[in-house]
Amino acid sequence: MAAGGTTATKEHGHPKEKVYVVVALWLALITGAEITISYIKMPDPAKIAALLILSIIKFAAVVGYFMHLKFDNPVLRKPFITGVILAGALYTIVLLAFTLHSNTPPR
Amino acid sequence: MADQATVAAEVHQTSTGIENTKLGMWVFLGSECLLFGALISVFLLYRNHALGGARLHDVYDIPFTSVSSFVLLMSSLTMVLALAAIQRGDQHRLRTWLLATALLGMTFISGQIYEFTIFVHKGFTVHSSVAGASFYILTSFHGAHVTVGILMLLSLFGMSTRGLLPKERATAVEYIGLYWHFVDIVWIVIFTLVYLIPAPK
Amino acid sequence: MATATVTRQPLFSRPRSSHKGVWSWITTVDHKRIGVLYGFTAFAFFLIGGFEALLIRAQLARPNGHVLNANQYDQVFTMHGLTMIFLVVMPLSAAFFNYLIPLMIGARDVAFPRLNAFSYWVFLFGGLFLYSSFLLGGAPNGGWFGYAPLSVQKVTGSVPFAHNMDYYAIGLIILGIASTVSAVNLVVTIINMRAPGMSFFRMPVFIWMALVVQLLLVFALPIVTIALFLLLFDRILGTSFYIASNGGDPVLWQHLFWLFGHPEVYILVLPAMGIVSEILPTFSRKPLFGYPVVVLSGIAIGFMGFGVWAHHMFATGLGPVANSAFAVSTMFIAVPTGVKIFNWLATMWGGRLRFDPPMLFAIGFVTMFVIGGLSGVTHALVPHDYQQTDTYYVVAHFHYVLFGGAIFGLFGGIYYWWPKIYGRKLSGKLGKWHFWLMLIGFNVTFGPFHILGLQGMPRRIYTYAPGMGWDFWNMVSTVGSFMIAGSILVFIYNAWHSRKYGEIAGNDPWDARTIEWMTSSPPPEHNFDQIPVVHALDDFWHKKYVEDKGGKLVPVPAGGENGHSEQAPEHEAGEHGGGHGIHLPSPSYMPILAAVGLPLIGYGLIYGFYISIVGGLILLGGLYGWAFEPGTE
Repeated sequence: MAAGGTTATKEHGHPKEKVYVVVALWLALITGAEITISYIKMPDPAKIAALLILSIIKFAAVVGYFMHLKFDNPVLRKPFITGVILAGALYTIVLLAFTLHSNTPPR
Repeated sequence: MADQATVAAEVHQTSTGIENTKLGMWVFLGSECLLFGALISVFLLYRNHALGGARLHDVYDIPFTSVSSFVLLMSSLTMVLALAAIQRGDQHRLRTWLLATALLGMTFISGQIYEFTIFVHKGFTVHSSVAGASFYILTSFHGAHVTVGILMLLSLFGMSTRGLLPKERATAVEYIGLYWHFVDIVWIVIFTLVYLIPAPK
Repeated sequence: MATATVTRQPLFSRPRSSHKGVWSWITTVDHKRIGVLYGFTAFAFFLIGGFEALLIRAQLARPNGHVLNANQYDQVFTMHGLTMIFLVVMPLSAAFFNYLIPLMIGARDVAFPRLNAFSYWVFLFGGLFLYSSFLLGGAPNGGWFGYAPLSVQKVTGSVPFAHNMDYYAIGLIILGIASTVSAVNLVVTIINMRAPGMSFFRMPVFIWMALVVQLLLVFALPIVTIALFLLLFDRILGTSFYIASNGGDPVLWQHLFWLFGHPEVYILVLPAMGIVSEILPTFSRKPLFGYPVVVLSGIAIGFMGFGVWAHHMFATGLGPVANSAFAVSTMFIAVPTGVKIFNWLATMWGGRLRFDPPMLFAIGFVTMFVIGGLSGVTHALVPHDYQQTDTYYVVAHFHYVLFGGAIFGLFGGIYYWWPKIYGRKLSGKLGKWHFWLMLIGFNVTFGPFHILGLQGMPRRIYTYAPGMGWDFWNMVSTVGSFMIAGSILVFIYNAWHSRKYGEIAGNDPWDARTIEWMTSSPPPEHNFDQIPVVHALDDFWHKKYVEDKGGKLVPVPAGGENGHSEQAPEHEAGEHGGGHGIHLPSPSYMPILAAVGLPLIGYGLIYGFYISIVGGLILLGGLYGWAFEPGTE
């Protein structure tokens, strides 16, 4: 918190740093929302969906703004986004295969 | 953008105009996605395999972990501010923000060590079950990455104090920053998938 | 990682550039020398792995064999597999990548020369680490894919705490680090260091395949690294990731291993496909048929390779849904592979073929790979696979694709580029002897495996009783394996002989198509006096030949044979004249120093943590030295 506060006062006038601070504030807000959601009573699927969406937004914000990928050469996106998608897809299938696997009666 | 111009002046020409180290770093980070993806899925697979013992969801303390997650998240902010400082040529601010980032990282690591100690006392250990083992392996791999990042940040700090980190070498801060942010986003994913999402009964 | 070009206050000095002596090789960062080091090291491991293969065949030649006992046999077949995959085919491909990528894209070196040296040393020390296990109590003995829970077992024979599979886990992690580092390096090199005009679709097919292979490595190796770490923790920390009785699941190992293992298959064979795609057009005197299709099917193979892993696990009991899905995806991946085969055939069709050794090996690759590919498609049928799995039929299949495929392709590449590397050709006559002996020996060795497998002979058995009906074909196979060994001796003699008596090659001995043949043989340290400007696919060919009105090839009248003169006006000639004043990275001690740390960390995990600390400090010291040594000069 302290870090965020001092920045806002120190670095005024520099537009780029202002953007960084605004992004950080949003990240903080979303994190707060995440924690709140985790305490609210609601059906698990809805809760999981909400939490996943929020964390994807945070992920994208850090990658896009702090890591500058949004403004950088598109060539840089390819290897990273390939890695993210590949990891998501492959491991989902593996976990799915385990679910199928345990549902199969032993031969 | 001014910083882009200085970067371009420093690098030799490449086919894409991207500096080699930067491209290499992104390819490496793409590779790391599959590394952490594997660890996270092992945890998700085993989180209930507790053999009747403690599960993470029986021992964790969400408010505490939320604070340490927030600390790591804010270290990404100080990291970009360090980059902005060196791109402006402001060595003093550069050092301040580098040190702040490293300290936030160390706070996070200390929090993790504290958390581990509590968990172990509650009977959730590497040996209690695969649920425990997969949690500790995942978080210590992440912790090791944070520690490497802290070492690199402190090295940058040291270089800056000895005058070895002039404005023209802002890319060094930029690339180590990329690594640091990556470690942060991995934790964003871990925090959601491992801590916040309710475990199936 | 700060890539240091610190001009003031150098903390460390770099060794002086020199071209002679052992130290010049130890400190080299020249991609060509590193390529040669990779090649020789991989060939040395090839001889060791081949010797292990001969031991296996000697043991199995007759029923109740006594050459090896069961324990020794387990170690020898495991090390044969590990050696051939991780210490021969991968580094031999890496030798070609290192030597050729900068030359074929018109660069002076790879993107990160010191990182390149680091990759080589880590690979070498990883290989030595793996082999040191023979002297330190026993080599890995759980098969190359180290299935859990067998691989977690600590008891081997009468030894209560055997370290065999610790060496497996740590050795492969170290080799994985070497490959990952080199893959990142080469991806950046290909994307970023291309000569002016060398757009992606003007790159030789070999470069495309190299790019696909490096990306496969980048994305597949971290998966197996985690699998190996979990195995290591099960073994040294006493966790139970793969032990079902304690809540773990051995099938997790299989998933993680084959998630890597199937892309690995393409990592092994795509380089050879790239080599063959260079050789066939040159020796057919025709452009490659359907270049974009070959490239795109290579990319398709790479990506689909991530979606078929569970076909290695049909017999695990994944259930009908998963099995059917992976059976379908496996059959689909045969499509782009088949497309390539037809492209190669169409390239040769109507060409003026010359049957020099590179061409023979390339044709050998295509034919043997087709046989291996067809038996591969039979595995895609799940019920069929239940019958074949863990029999010699599978052994036949993967030797047809990895020996008949990868090794034939790589030998083709050796004959093809040898004159570029050494300035002298290998003898064509001996090369033909080598080829025919190897082709016949190969088929005599591995053909019978199909029959043995369908007769039910299981893999990995160290001996068998007489009267199973396996005696005859096992003996035939053993005879064949010694024919292969003979062919390798012919090759070694050929290589030795060529040092003095090989025909002087000149820049372009094969009338080839790609730009590495424009520079001298061997190339100067800076590769090209002037970086070529590329105008077309097969640029060098178009510099040499034009088509007349009837579509016949006519040589370009002047300066055609050597392309240099044509380049001069395009570039500021004065600056680079004769290669002086070209900025090349200086040699460095740091890569080898940092690399030494890794096996020490590995030994520490087995024998005591203090060794790891020493190793870690050496690694750290090496990396810091690396970051702070002066850039060049």
